[in-house]
Amino acid sequence: MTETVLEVEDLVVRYPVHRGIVGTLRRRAKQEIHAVEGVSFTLSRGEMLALVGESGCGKTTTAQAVLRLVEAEGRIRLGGRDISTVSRTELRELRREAQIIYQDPYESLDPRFRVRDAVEEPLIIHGIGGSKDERRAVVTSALERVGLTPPDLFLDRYPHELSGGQRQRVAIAAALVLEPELLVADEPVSMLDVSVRAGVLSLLDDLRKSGLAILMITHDLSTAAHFADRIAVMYLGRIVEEGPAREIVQNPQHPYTKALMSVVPKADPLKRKRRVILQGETPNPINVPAGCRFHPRCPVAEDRCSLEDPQLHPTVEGASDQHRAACLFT
Amino acid sequence: MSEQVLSVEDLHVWFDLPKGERLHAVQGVNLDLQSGERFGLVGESGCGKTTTILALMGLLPSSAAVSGSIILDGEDILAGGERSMRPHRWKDIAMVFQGAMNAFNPVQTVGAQLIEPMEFHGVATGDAAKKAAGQLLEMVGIAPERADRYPHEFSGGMRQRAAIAMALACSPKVLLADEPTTALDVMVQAQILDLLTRLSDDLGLTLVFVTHDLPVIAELCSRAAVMYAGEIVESGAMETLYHDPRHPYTRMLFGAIPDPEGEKDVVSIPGAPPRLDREITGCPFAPRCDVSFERCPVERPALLELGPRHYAACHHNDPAGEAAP
Repeated sequence: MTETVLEVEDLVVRYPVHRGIVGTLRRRAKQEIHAVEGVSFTLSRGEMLALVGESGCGKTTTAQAVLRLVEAEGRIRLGGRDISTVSRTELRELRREAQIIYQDPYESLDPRFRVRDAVEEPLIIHGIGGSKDERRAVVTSALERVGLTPPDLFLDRYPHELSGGQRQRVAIAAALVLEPELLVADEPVSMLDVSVRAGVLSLLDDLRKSGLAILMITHDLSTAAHFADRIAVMYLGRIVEEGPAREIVQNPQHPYTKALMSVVPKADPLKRKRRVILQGETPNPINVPAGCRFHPRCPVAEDRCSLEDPQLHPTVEGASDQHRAACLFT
Repeated sequence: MSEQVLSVEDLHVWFDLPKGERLHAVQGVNLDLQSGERFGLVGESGCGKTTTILALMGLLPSSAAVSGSIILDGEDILAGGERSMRPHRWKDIAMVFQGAMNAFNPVQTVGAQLIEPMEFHGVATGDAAKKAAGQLLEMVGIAPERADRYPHEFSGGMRQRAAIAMALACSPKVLLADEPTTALDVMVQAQILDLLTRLSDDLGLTLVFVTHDLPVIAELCSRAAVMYAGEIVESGAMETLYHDPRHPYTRMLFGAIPDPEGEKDVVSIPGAPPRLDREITGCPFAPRCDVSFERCPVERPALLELGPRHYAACHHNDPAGEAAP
């Protein structure tokens, strides 16, 4: 019944660290940043998956690798077709099927483009949309779809004449005119004012209901809990826990997820809970800790955690076998 | 009970715009802070919250005109301009900025930058200042040896800790914090909030925390004020604001935030805040309000006291229908 749009298997992205002239002459060892270390997931039509984690956990790199904006090892299948090895010319075709919107709608829109031009440009680049009038009709209906109504009011405006929320809607409209199967949303609301965030997220939710597959990148567990169907929590390049959104937030299994959930600020002062504050910061992804990569900061780590590298496996308590965690104790 | 440290009365800030127009950024703000209390100032971008605390520090650009009074320990530090502000800045009232990276001079060690305000205000000099700098770093959870390091050698979270240490160099009574955790990860944010809570408890510091993030204030502060279009529309105890909001904006702002359990619906607030370079008639929130009536667009509601230290500016709280003075 569910139609898989995106299938990612064992994705690995490593960036070389520049040694500089001195480092090269001294034959200093070549180092790599292990940005993404074996990430696998699938995404179906009409589903929203949230990749959640702190900065440097590899969530954005994963999203970029899925769109082949960075080179990666592993297998990526989009709409049943293996795209991990397709050539550059074939990539253009791929871009029609998979679109991305970025965090900062102030920077992702060209300030010299009117709304109509910004939304029409993808059609021109891909040589689709028919005649000029037909393209105009596509642009108008895309604006209606993202809630910029009546479209006539917005067509001739420049980005600086729009609010942050309206700008992000324009960016979404420009992604939609190509009728993609997959939309990657990289922190789509973190630059927006609180009062308009819910509107943009509800728009994404409506698009999901109409069949779009959405991969949302966010650091905000509350947003993920609300709008995503499934959540995957990343730590140092790995997914450490994944499952249905409700289960992840109500019954987190991995100690990292538990700690993250405990420090999410609650709006109700009476709901203040004991927080599990992890000390220090995420380790450097050049030297990933041996064994479980979370063990140096883990409040419940034991000796064997520094030796064994836990893999994702179904949790004991989890109600469904879709809820998996990578911890030796779950 | 506890004594009053800082009170702000009828604070207004205007900015001169290029074409001779003026932007009324802060429109009559009143604050009243007790010693040792943690107070939140919340609002969306452009609501005047940062301008308000920059005015308290006397750090607004020269294009700004400020009126009203800022009374610190019984003395009006605004009345005498820079001359009356300067002895108190950093010494009695200090500030932590949003971008900790930009708060430091990149070519000076962190230690040197901690010592500078101490020497300027004659708090400590020479070896004593050096020792005090080490102690300050220790207090915020950084090894004292790191005083010899440069800002770029610190991670984001450590830089924000160091910025807090710098603000505390002259043992101020009031610490103003402008979105100090916005650029940080949630775990580092929790560490910083924990640190600020501990510091305000241990040092009896009065904390004013400015943010757009209501839940952060709910975690940290006992009392808060909600700002909209340059004015405070509601203020009160955090529990009261959440469970018994008396201004629609407060209620709708809480309603726009997803809760981590993912249960209640989130609803965005339609429209956008009014422009502040034009005179506002009536209630500034009326065009976005879901319960506005005839009176709202024509008459500006006054901030009424509704309970102990609970104030709101909404005509719905004034059933008598009498025009407030």
